Formats: sequence, C-alpha cells, structure tokens
Amino acid sequence: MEFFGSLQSLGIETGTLVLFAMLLGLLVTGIPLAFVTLLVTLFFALGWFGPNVVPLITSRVYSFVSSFVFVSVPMFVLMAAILDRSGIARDLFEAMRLIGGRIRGGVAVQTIFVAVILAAMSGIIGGEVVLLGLIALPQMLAQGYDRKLAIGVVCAGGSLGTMVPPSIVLIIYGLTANVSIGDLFTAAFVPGFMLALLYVGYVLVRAWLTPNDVPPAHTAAVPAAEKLRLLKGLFLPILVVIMVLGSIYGGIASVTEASAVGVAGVLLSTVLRGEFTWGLLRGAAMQTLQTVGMIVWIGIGASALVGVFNLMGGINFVSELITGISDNPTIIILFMMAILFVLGMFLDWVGIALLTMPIFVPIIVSLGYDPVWFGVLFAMNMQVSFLSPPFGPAAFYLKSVTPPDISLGEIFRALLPFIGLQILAVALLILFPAIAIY
Amino acid sequence: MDAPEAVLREEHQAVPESGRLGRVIDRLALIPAFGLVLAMLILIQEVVLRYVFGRPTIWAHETTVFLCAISFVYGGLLCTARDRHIRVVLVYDMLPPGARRVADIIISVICGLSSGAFAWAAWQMVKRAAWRPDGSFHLETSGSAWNPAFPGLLKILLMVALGLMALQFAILALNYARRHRGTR
Repeated sequence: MEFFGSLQSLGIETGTLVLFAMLLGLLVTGIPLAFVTLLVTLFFALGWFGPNVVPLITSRVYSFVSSFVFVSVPMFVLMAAILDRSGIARDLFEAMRLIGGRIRGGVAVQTIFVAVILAAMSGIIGGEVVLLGLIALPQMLAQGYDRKLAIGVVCAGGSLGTMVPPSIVLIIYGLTANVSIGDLFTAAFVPGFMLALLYVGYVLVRAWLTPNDVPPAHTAAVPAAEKLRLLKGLFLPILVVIMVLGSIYGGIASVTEASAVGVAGVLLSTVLRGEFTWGLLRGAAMQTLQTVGMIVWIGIGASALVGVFNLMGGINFVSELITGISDNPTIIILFMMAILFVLGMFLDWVGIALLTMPIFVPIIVSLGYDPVWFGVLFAMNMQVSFLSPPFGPAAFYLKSVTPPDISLGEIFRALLPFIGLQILAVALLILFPAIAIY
Repeated sequence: MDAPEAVLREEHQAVPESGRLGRVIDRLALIPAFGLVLAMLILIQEVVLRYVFGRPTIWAHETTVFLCAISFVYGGLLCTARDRHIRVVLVYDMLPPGARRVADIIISVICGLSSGAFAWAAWQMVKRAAWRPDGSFHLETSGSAWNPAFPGLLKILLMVALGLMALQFAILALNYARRHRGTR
C-alpha cells in the first residue's frame, strides 16, 4: 500500500487525534521537543499529502529564521547574559536598600523592585531568578524571613522578565499573531507593574498578618556619603532601561534596534565598572548562541508542524471545536486559558506560543477582541507556567543555586500563593481589559 | 561567595559522547557567537548613521538578519552536541540508569532520523534556491535594492546544519550504545 496520502482517509477528526496522540506520546519519552515536532510534521506531510508539500514546509522554516523582528531575541538574551556576568545586579540590589529598608518586609519589597528593573532591562527568565537567588535570598533568610515567602518572592519576581517589556514572550507572540510588538510592549507595561504590585501587596499583608514570618526592618542610619555611593549602583541600570524602553516608546528605534542599544548599554556599563573582559563577552556570546539555538529550534519545529496542520485543515477544525463550546465569548476565553494553564505545566512557552496562537488568535479576532490584549493575557498566563509544578522552570533555576536543604518540593509549595496571585492577575485582565488597552 | 560565582559562570560543553564532531562544533561555535556581537554593532551603527548623519544604509538590516539566522541555525547544532535541546524528562527521570542509557540510544536514533529526513526536505528547497530552471548555478537573492545572495546561502546552510545534526545524533547513538555495552 502506498503510504503517501494514505492518512487522508482518516478524516480530519481522527487525523487531529492521531497527531496530538503522537505528539504527546513522543514528547513524554524524553525526545527533544524540536525533533518531536519535526518528526510528526514529516510523518503527516508525507502521509497526508505526499512529497509535494515538503518544500512548502521548509520554506516556512526558512522564513521563520530570517525575520528581522526575530533578531531582537538574541539581542535581549545577550543583554541578559552580560548582565548575569557583571556585578550590576548586585549593586542595584544594594542601592535599592535605601528605598526598601525602612518598612517591615522591606527586603522582600526591595527584591521585587530590583526584579522589575532587571525585567525592564532584559526579556528572559532564568538569569534573573539565579541572580536574585544568589543576592536576595541569602539576605532575606539571614534576616529571618519565612523561607517560603523568601523563595516565592525570588521566583515570582525573577519571572517578571517575560512580563515587563521588553519581553521575549511578547516578541514571539507578536511574530506569530502578526501584531505590532511596540503595541504589545505598551500594553504590557501596566499589567506587568500590576503583577509586581500584587506581589508587594502580598508581602505587606503577610508582614501585617503573620509578623513572625516577616522581620522588622533594620534601622541602621546610612551616612550620606554611603548613600551617594549606593546611588551610583542605581544610575547605570536606570540609564539602560531608559535607553531601551525610551527608544521603543519614543519611536526613535525599532524594537530590534532598541534591543541592540540595550546590549551596547549593558556592555558599556561593564566597561565603565571595570568588569569588561574578553572572557566575559565570549562566555555571554556563547551562552546566547546556545539559548537562542534552544528557542529557535523549538520554533522551527512548531512552525513546520503548524504549517502542515493548517494545510490539513486542522486549524479550522480545532477553531470550530473551540468556538463551538459556547456562544459566550468569555467562556471561550476561559477555555483557552485553561488549555494554556495545562500546557504550561508540561511544555515550554515557546512551543505553546507557536503551537496554539495560530489557532487562538484568529478566534480572538473573530470574537471581536483585541489581539494585543490577548498577547498580554498570554504573557500573564505564561507567568503561571514558569512557577507551576512539575516543570516550573523558575523553581529549577532557583534550585540550581540554593543550598541543598531547600528541596524542589519546598520551592513548589512556596510558589503556590504566588501562582494564586498570577491567576488573580489573569482574571483581572479578563474582567478589565482596559488595564492593558487604554 | 565562591560557590555561587562558579554557578554563575557555569559554561556548558559538548557532551563526551558527541565525539570529535561535537568538540569541533563546540569550538567553531565561537564564530557565530561573535557574529551576534557583530550584528549588534551593525544595528548600532545603523541607528547612529540614520539619526546623526541622516544616511541609513541599504545593507545593515539584511546583514544582521543573515548573521542572526546563521547563529539560530548553528545554535541548534550546538545544542545537539551539548545535549541542551529542551525536552520533557517526566518519564526519563524516573527510569533506572540502565534503562536511561537505552532511552538515550533510542532518543538519539529518532532525532537523527528526524533531522536526516529534514535535511532531505531542505535539499528539495535548495534545489530551487541554488539552480536556475535551466540547470545553471545561481544563488537565490533577496530582491532588495542591495540584492545579496543571502536567501540562497542561508537555505544551503540550513540543509548542511540539518545534515550535520543527523550525523551528530548518529555519533551520539553509537557512543551511547558503546558505553552501554561497556557498563554491562
């Protein structure tokens, strides 16, 4: 029997089912996501259509790697990689002591604010969690903070990198959904801050309700000369943030160019601080190459798979399935959120964005919603995926730098209230879309 | 602060099972890595030329896209040699060490097949991008005012990278299998 084209007799219902079953089945065996999707793509391309469609798929892959907006991804990763290797974050944390030092729970609040500034400099998760885990966590534990609260603040704060602009999650969403990334960044600004303020609020409430878990502030007076020295730690990061976000919001440079400006800013900062070495640049560049390799190849696989699935008519089929569950658009949105939550527990956000958004975004548009708003909602949803067990990457990043007596289980338990806050933020965004689109 | 510093500067390397090819891939990765730095510098000079001198170039954008695309393609190859591709290790982590080695072999074989098949698929694309219908050699150009042959080159690179990836997976599978037999 001829294999080429033989799968078509399955019909789209069974075909979709077989495709998802194959995808999940291969995925849990531990085969890298990128190659699972490529394999399934090829199986269906040949089995459903035959060799004629193969060039169509490869040209999708080609256009995926050669888009100008995508250039900003390695730039933001490079920026974060240089940041990780410099002492900028440590000095920033020291400087923020001036702001957070006076109140009960000050160090935790300060950690969240540092996280926001770091998030406004880079757009990825990982480095930030590690940095805060090294700088802020030991200090909070030494001052007698409840362990779970301290862990939660570090992981949740460190994940903000992909919510506060510039964010790679939003860039990838903008690419798949064909939405202006500048608009997405503008829209994500307030929701990102809102999430950070929810965290701050939680810390303050804990300080009030469970004072044993949150130590009083250390009120040692800081001499003026010391204050000035500390403020210097604040200067360079703020300058970089202004350079990056300023050139995007001010319309001076495209997002891609702004990302390069950010790299230059951070690089220049390391030179000014006397930290620059070729080893630093080399290490950062190599790490960037590896990270983008990871991200892009998941993207390559996913975009190829979506291409074939679309040709099969699968996207139409799934769209009808989703829109068919209810006449109430809110229920459809909630259903999509549920799908994203579940996928977020197991899959990487790049894969989720590229696999689901080609299906979800057209539905959103046809329901009359703003795709920019949905992008922010998606980024917020992915915040949950960074923390949720069993694969919350933030927990794993933190585990890699904490003392062995903090177990992964304890980290995940510590994250539960913060996941609750993130879900609250998702709910607020759905109830009041004006938070994002004003 | 010694231990945390060490963690911060942790640098991955090609896994030992990737063999000589893996080490070469790891070493040559420095070129595309600095290509990214170069891309950054080009973007900066473009911003400066446009705003300070009012003279944007016609080559900056296409060159940065090309440099980054090279690093994307090479990055995948590097992740293969370093075993850093993202995977779901839910079941894998529960396996006993012996079964895990068998899984390593099977995973590498499947990935090799997958990338090998895609190298063939890329060849179908290269056939159109590198030769004219009459059979004479001509690399596809971008069609812009500058009109470099980047699309043609990139398609060839993609094919070569997929081919090398398949080879790397074959070497990995072989070495996992060899080690597996050795430990029994």
